[in-house]
Amino acid sequence: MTSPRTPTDRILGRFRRNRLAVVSLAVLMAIHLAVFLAPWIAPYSPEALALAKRFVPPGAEHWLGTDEYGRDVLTRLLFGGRVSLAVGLASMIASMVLGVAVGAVAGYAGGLADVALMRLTDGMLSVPLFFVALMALALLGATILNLVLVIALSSWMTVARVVRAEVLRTRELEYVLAARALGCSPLRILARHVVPQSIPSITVAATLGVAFAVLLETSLSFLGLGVQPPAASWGNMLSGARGYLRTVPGLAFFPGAMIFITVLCYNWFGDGLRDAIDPTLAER
Amino acid sequence: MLRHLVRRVLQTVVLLLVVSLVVFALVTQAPGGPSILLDRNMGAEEIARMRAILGLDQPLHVQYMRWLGQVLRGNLGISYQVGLPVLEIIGQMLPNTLILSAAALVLSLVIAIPAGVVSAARPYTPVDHTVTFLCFFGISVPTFWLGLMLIVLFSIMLGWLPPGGMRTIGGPASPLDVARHLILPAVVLGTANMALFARYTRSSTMAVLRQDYVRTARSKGLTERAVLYRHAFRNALITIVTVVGLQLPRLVGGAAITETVFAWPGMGSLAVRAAFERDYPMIMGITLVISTVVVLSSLLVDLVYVYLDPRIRYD
Repeated sequence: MTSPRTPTDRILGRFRRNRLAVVSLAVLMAIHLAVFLAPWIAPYSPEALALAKRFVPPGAEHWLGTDEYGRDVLTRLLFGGRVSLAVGLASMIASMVLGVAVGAVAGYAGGLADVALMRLTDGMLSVPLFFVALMALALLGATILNLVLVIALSSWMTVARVVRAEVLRTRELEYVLAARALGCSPLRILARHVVPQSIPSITVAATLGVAFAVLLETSLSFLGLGVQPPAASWGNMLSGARGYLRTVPGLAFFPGAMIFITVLCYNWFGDGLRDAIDPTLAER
Repeated sequence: MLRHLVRRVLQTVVLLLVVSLVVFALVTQAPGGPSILLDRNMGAEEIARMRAILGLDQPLHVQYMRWLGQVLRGNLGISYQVGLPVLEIIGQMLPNTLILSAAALVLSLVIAIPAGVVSAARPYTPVDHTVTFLCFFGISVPTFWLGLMLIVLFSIMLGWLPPGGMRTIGGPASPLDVARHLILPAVVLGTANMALFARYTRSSTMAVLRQDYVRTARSKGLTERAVLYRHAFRNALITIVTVVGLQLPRLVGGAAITETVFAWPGMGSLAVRAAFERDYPMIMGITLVISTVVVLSSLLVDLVYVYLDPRIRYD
């Protein structure tokens, strides 16, 4: 006997038919696994200097060659990916928490709180935050924690709007009215009955959010305001390779290609997820 | 209409005040803020005198109002590093950033709009799939990496275009020379927006193509071309104008990275340098000026939007 098809089954079915999204998910899983296992699978040390082996071209010993300090590029890509992806994921989580909180409160409370929070959201969206982020990191110091906070603070707005719209739709539904009649506290209603309704949209926003966060982290690290050397991140590897564009252009190619592939796969995956969750959105 | 205008202008003013407050708070509250000017060898008495000269002994709101008063009079202070008035330096750099951003914007619209319309006219055909595929590339590619790779290809390997800067050093100053230097940065800065604009053009044109009046236009025998460009595209344009307005802050942010990659002498590379040198008056000035420019441009786009769509009358 087959069990009835739940909405989740249907979403998964639609997702599975989207070849590009499935491949992207597979690539992402491979990248995350490799990066996570870096300390065990990386052939060399990411920071030890070997000046005798500077700029070794790609070959059997060093698959992707070595950099200006003789460090193995593949090893640094793996360790750099740990930092870039960890910062990307942590920023995304912080940004989701903030966005969901703002959106849920604005949508559920309504009135003045709603107006104030949405004005704040729109205001943040209309200011060139990149410059404020630069300034904040320069003043407060470019630590990983500050980096995560800055990225989260500049990216929660989209989620807040999505969640608010969903909460506005859900809060008048009968089961929510029932919960309110039973005397549930607003916090409990939000957490148990209202916010879970928007989990599909939040998931999509989170996936696309990682893409955004990774791009922002690598941009800031590239400018020198993110992860600080000698620790590797995809962004600062690229910035270190800038001086050798003429002689060893390959050094700049690999870290950028990793960022590109990761962001591209997150975007394709997120897009496929959105189409699977709500097929009516497919043509946006 | 007038009421809408007044309200939008008021909102803009409040927004800029908030930005100024954030900038002020960041600089004064950050560890090693203006107190960095105090020498470690100073005695307690000297420190007190220095704080009085700098106005640091005043309550914060007094300091803020004083600073804001100066800013409103156009005094953004003197750069710690260059020793010139911040406003003067910004005045030299801002036009360069505007040239780069405008070139990137025009380039992206010129390519994105036809691509989006063609995509929408033939949905789910190979043409459409190709456009969509390229859009994902454009949205996902890191600006700085694209810039470096184009430099390697077009400047180092092929030698066709200069790798950076705005003018050939020692060469004759001509608009043509600037244009040659502008090509690569404009392409790089335009790429992400191109992809985004093409997506929005596609979806809004598709939405319009489903409208009744489009069916009417077709059934009275208009060519598909006339339907597409005279009827559908015009209305789709309204959405595109909105998206352009919403994208402005990110366009300028992207300009900061592009300028750094190509050593383009603009606000972005200036800001990055000032951030490293802890040139507080400079950082504050740049953030304020660039925010003002962006917010005012968005206001302008908003007004164009009302003008384009007679159905919108904010009353």
